[in-house]
Amino acid sequence: MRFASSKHWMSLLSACVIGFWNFSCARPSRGLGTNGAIVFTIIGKHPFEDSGLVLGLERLNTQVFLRGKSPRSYVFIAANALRSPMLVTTRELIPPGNEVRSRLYLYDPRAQTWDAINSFLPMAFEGTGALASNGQTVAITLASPATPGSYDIWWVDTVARTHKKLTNAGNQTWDSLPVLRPDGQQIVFLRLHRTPKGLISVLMSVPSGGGSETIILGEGEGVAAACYDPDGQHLAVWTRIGLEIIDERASSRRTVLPWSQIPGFSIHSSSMSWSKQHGRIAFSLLNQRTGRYEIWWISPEGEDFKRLYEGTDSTISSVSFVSTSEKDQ
Amino acid sequence: MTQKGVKLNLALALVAFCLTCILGCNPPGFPGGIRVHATEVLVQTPGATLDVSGVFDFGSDLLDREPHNGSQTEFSGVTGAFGLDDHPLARTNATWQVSVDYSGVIPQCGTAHVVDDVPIEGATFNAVCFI
Repeated sequence: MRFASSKHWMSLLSACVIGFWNFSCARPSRGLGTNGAIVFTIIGKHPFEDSGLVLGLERLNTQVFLRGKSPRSYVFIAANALRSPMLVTTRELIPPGNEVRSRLYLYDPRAQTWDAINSFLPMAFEGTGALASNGQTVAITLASPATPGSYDIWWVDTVARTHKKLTNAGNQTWDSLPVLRPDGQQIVFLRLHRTPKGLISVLMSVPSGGGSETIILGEGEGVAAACYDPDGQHLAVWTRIGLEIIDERASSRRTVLPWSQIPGFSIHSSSMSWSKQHGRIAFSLLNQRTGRYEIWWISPEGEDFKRLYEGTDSTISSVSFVSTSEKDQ
Repeated sequence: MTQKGVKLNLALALVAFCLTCILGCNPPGFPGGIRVHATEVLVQTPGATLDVSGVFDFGSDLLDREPHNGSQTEFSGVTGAFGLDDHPLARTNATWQVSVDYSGVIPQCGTAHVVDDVPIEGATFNAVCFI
């Protein structure tokens, strides 16, 4: 055998190495079909075991999408499509003291790039966020190091590199789980208050360009999570009554799934998502009998209440419908 | 190049391939550690539990066993946006006392103390404030 043929071997092996790496760790999951998917995150039992998974809606098969491994894991994802930029919150070691912090990134699965969203408050504590349909503007939560528990809502354009602080939560209060209206003009979020009685929540909104905050549902409603419908006309909200649909303009509301219909289930901090393609609202529920966190969906009319994912004993922290169609990427 | 040389190159390439896969996908890091997760139940919606940030946590290693991971025998910190505070260097395969202090947040919740064994792969201490 001559030297030239060994060079061919080396070239072939190099191609295999690059190809294998590209498929195994760099590329979004394949084999999910074109019927859409749900990207979700689980909080692990140990540091750096938090991962992003994808649930194909054609075959209800689950694949690990971003596997947590020291020094970085993945606790929150907001996405529009499986192969377009998505907002990801990581847990990662920050040198030199090896402190573990949450960091917000705009992650591009195709280019394999991780762009830090917060470049303007480097010492801030970073939290959750929402991604606009343009894939470049985001609403995020940040807390000052002086008040590590008090998160505020910020608006960031990741391309223009501009940002604006939209809320001032104040002492013993923090803002959480921002949701963007599909037109990008309004942000809905939870404001959580610590009181002598315990934890109180209020559903609020603020214009994304800045302005005064408005209460949508007050303290007595016990709001735990919310999301917009694809047209931005309605909100799906978990309240003390159950899952409700709220029409902001008509100031009307109706119950889709009362707590009384799902005994033995509860919810934990998590985003939820409303799919235009499927006309369904997806969310995570804790099955108290099994101790497992499951993913379910239901129609806005309260029909087709169905379990999509049989569950994990780790907390599900975000749920996001994504397109798997090539034309949406 | 001789056939033996080609085989050697092939073997080296295979080793490089394996190392690329292992190191490329799984960068080295800390195995184990201790995670503190603080949550509270919503007053108006008992079926809803939310993560709580700004809760202080402290830990002390009371008893070591062999073998173990990690070198820290004490830690302190504060929970972040997901109610999490991670201590990846905390010594595992050990008995720890972990305290989660809600007193600065909700006085009625007070401070919870837990003594528990942490296996070598690490553990999570879940703190829930019910009022």
